[in-house]
Amino acid sequence: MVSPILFIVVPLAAAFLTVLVNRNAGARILALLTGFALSALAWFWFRADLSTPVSVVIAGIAPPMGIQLSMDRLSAALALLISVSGFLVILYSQSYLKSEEAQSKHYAVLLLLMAASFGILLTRDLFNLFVFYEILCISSYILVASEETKASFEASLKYLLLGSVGSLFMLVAIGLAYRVSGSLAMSDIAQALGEADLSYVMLTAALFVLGMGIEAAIFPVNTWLPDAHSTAPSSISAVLSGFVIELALIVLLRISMTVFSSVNLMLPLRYMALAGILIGELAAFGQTELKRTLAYSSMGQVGLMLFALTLGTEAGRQAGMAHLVMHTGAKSILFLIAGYFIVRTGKRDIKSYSGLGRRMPLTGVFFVIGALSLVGVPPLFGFFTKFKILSAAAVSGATGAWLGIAVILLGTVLEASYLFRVVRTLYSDPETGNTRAVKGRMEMDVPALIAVFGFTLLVIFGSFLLPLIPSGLAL
Amino acid sequence: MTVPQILYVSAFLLILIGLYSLLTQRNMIRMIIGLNIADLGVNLFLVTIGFVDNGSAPIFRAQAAAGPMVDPVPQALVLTSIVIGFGVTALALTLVMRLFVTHGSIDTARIRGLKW
Amino acid sequence: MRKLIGILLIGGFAFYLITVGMGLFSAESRSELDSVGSEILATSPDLSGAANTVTAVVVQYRGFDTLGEVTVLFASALGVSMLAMAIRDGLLQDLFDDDGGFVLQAGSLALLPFIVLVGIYIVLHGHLSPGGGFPGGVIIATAVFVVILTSKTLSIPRGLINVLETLAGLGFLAIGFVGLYSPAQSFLANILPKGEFGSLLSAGFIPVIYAIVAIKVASELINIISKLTAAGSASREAAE
Repeated sequence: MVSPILFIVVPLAAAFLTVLVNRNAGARILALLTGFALSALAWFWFRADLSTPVSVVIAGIAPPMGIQLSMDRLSAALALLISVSGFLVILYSQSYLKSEEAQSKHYAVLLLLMAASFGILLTRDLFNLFVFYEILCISSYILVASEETKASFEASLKYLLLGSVGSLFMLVAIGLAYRVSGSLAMSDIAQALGEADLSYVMLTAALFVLGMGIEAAIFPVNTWLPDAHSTAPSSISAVLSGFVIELALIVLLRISMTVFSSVNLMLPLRYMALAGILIGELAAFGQTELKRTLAYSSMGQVGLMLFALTLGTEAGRQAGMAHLVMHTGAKSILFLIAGYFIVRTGKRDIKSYSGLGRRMPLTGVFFVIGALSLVGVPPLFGFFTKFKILSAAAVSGATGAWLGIAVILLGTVLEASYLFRVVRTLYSDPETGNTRAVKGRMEMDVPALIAVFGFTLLVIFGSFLLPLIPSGLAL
Repeated sequence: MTVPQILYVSAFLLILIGLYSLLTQRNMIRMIIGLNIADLGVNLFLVTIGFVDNGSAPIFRAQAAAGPMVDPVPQALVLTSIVIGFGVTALALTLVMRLFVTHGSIDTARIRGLKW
Repeated sequence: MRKLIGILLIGGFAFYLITVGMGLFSAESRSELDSVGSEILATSPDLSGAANTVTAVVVQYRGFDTLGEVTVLFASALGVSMLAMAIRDGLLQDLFDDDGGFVLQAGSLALLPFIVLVGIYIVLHGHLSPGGGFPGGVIIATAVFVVILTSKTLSIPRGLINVLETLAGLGFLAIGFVGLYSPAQSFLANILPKGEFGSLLSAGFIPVIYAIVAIKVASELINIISKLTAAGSASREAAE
């Protein structure tokens, strides 16, 4: 029997070993092997029959006294998404991180981030969730700062201060929950909070959502996102935008729907989502740097997913999950390619990239596919997910659903215009641009090309996966 | 006022003081100290949750102590929380060192790269 | 302006908490536990064999949290060493221009074995009295820190410390796996004999885990301290 605990133990062990290896080549291979092993493990669980969730009790002590992990269909699907995109990003880093001194440490922190992601996905204990959430946050701060530029240090510190305040709120919420339920197991807390005073539950829920919402980049507490995602190394931007915020979002929603079910959090979250879409897309439209544009676009896309997931219908949740998978693919493509644009030109502005699409033909095609899917152009995955969200909203009858549809359509128009602007620059005449003429091969290195190709396959053929994407948000 | 009430109020005040200095200070070291004060308040809050009247430490001794023992779980949680707080503080201070080297200042107003 | 916004925000937050909190915390007095803690207090002597119930919770009931906690420290030490590596600007130069003088240096070296001894004592008695792997590890690291503070040159065996760090981390996971593939079939199950309750050799794997945690904590802290101070001493060497 393959225990789900391997998801956490394998990357942890690899991270501990990587530091000892302390040679770049060894660390790279070790990270790559770990990523592959995790993907295989996730595939095994994805194919397994999980109609009843598989639970694992730590130290043989059942909850409420001990800690329990549980693997259900949602966790298995997200674990597959995380491990495959983690593997592809590690593959990309093989060539992208060439110049960096502290490569083995970089991979170790990336593996810790993956271990923590699996941890918050699997655990059914509120405090254990907090511990893994902290590992996730700390590794994200480190990875953002590992770009070693002025801006990345600032973004990382800002992220750290905001994230720490969020963790404090979360801890207070856990304390409040323990005080009324006398237990830390999510199911016990859900039961106790169901019978508790409503204002008490509201306070607990508000503190928890505010705390965890920081990593999920929900509207009022997402100010760190554009700085952190745009100044981090591009492989890390792809990880943070690709699965970390999505994962935090899903776990947050799962907890607010099950543990805090007695207060209706869906309505405020839905309006916060709409505000996120509007502000994110408007800000993205006004940016001149490619990575900053993409970061603000992530802000809008998170709002889109949150809106669909909080509609309160089965169709809405399914559409939201599908869009989440699509966003992981599309945003990873765009960020990974943006990293190579910066490496090849040494500049971050969109206008410096004129003509790059002609010099990097294959890369250019991948970029266009990613951008089209993000906007939602028909044959690609993004069209199906956006269409499903809109139709789910139209039939849901939820408060604010029609307002939501209008906002989403407006967001799509904005998104299409700024992404089209980037694509037009990529294929414009290089002579009219102000780039210095770069001679020689411009295409991305082979590992990076393979990684981006992997994400492109997801974006093109993702619509065939739709029936496999689960929608339940049970504990 | 009972003992836990006094402790709850102190924890509450500590959290407020910490958050206030985090919001108003421009010196980054002071902001981190504010974070630590708030952290302290949260830890005090957690310990207080496990309080029992006339409780003793949850350690079994040869001579059995009279009265009930306090809840061991929040104490274990606080131990974890302290270690996490330490890790975050060490990282934050290292970042401030790097910022001081690159910008020559630890005043957030003098660091103009990003908006605060 | 900044102060005003701060006061308004904090004031609003405080007002909300007070209005909600007053009613809830008014009747705050209880004479017995009604939480899972009482169950733990009742089962802990048999299940863990540790006299100190907090230790039993930290290492056995919630041992998985402790694994996470050690990982947090590991991540933080990694981050510090990644970021401090490049500081060569004489940032801490003033701090390290003076050595402590002969008396302080000799004194700190003489103190070193005693501080380490106290640390080891606290680690090994973690299941009997307050203390354990985390405080003990910190005390052991403090011994090294005192020497770093007073002497101008101290070469820390980085390689050895890295090996210890890794072995301790892998050791924790290995104990977990022993539990998983033992008859108990559960990660981190306490399968060692419990011994006589309240004696030094009791509580099964709890002292073993605490020793591992102490090694891990001490090596991470020494790593963090030496990385942060090396930034200063490297710049001093460059200046000389």
